[in-house]
Amino acid sequence: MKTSLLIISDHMDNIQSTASKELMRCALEVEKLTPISIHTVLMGKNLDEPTEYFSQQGSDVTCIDVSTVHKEPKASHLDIAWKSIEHAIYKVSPEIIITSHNTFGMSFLPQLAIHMNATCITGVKKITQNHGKLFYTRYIWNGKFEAQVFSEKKITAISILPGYFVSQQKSETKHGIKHHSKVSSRIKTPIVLKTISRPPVTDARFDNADVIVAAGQGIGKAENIENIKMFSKIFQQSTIAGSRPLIDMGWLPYKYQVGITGQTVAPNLYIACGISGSSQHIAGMRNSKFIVGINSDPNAAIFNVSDLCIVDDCLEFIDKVLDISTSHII
Amino acid sequence: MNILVCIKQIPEHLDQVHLNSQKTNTLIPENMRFRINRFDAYAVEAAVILKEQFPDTTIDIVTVGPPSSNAVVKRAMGMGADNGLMVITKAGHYMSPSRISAILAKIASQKQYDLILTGIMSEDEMNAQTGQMLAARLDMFSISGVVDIQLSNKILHVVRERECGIRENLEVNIFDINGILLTIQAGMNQPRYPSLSALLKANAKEIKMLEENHLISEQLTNDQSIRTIYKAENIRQGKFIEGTIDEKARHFIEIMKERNFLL
Repeated sequence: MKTSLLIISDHMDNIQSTASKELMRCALEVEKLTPISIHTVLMGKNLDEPTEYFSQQGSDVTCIDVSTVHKEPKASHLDIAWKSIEHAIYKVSPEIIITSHNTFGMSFLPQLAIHMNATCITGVKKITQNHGKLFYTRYIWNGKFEAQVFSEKKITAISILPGYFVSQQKSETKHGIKHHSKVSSRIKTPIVLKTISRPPVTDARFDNADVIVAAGQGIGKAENIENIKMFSKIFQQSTIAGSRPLIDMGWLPYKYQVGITGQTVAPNLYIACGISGSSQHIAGMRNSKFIVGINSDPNAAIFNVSDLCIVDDCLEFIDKVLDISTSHII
Repeated sequence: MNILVCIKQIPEHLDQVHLNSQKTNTLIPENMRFRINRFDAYAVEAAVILKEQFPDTTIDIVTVGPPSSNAVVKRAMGMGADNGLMVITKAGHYMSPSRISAILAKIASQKQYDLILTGIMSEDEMNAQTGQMLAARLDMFSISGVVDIQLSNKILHVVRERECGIRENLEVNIFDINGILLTIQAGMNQPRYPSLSALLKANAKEIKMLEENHLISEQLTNDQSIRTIYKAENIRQGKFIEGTIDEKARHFIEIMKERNFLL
């Protein structure tokens, strides 16, 4: 008997196509490990395109139109997510539930696990199988270690890390069954959505940069940003950037932030100075063509993605490089 | 107003954490000092700021962890919290978020809380589950990834961070709905350093100690288990530059020139 696997995907903002493809690829990887039937619950508005996509991949699709959240008083779809999809989930009675590890997925997955008596495993980057048991790999300790965990319950709800289920699948066109439903207007939340603010349009500094020199908390104090700037200037077409902890401390404005909650960049050269390399940061820069890590901790996770690793105090190292390169010019 | 803040201890030096010989758990050096999980420290600070604006506020701190966790509870009390509570677990034993949230739910249901705050995740396990599971167990509304809180005229104004820097400005009357749970994202404030006198005062206060099996009669189990832990896989096989700092700097410049990054 096939296990029922359910994908839950969000299509509120019309920007989720990458996430849905990764969810589908993850489901197809599970299919290689254990026999499953795939179902999808889509939540959002204008769902025709994603419905077609999941259906062609052979998944049965249930669409839940939540445009009603735009009626006054407005609500964010995140605050009605669980209530809106609950009915559809119970109908499928899945044993594996997959969603994205983003603000949508994380707005309901832990609750779902409690309500359905399921195991919740978040930020999954790989799924393997041994003797019929599925093992889920996820980062811990800021990306320094990986843990392989397994579920102790019948139902397992997982969220997948963006960028890790990207293998190309050759698939013939199939046709899953499609169901459409509108979310009941009785589903309400006391949390009112007043406005949505978007960050000021980011300048094109990252797009035009050939080289990005990024700083993390390891640079010690705000004033040392000046050293990073000086260092970046020895490279042509370069700019500086920062990790989230550094931006949170107010050492650089938000528009400089690289990572899952900032910008995703892929320059020809990325130099990470005093950045430990949390999975959040790595997701935003791992596709850079050449990566240099400079960190005093030889076990820092940044070295796992670096082409060139320099174990040293990053400020002393930068000073040394500046000394040598300027004396060459003279 | 009653506020509960759930916090967790984290080793001060993450880089000194190793794996045990069976590779099933992490090993923390014995003399390690602990600090408040970064995300939880923002939550404590947010509660203290509310107490400064609304003096008729009581802040309770709770942690579930080994006996060494009392240091972070004292620290939070030094920052301005009123009461501390600890549920003691055995050191080195894995506790899943589901199990921790069941313990926290027991504590949280002993009092009527208007606001429950906790960090969005812990820096060690990075699950981002405990807060939301606690809300589900208490049947309480919750907002995750909060980067700002303001309370005025009984309305709580909350800013939630979404992807790509998008922020949702939300409003909720928390006194109409039996309270709300917020999980706090990084960067919402600058957690204060407690003054020496505040720390001494906090040290003199008693922390209420409870044990897991005294608190909950049924045997709680983990919903998931760890098979193995290992050093994160290399995505790229990086080359380490060896030598003195001077040699490393020269070698670095050479490589940059070879690759035409430096002229």
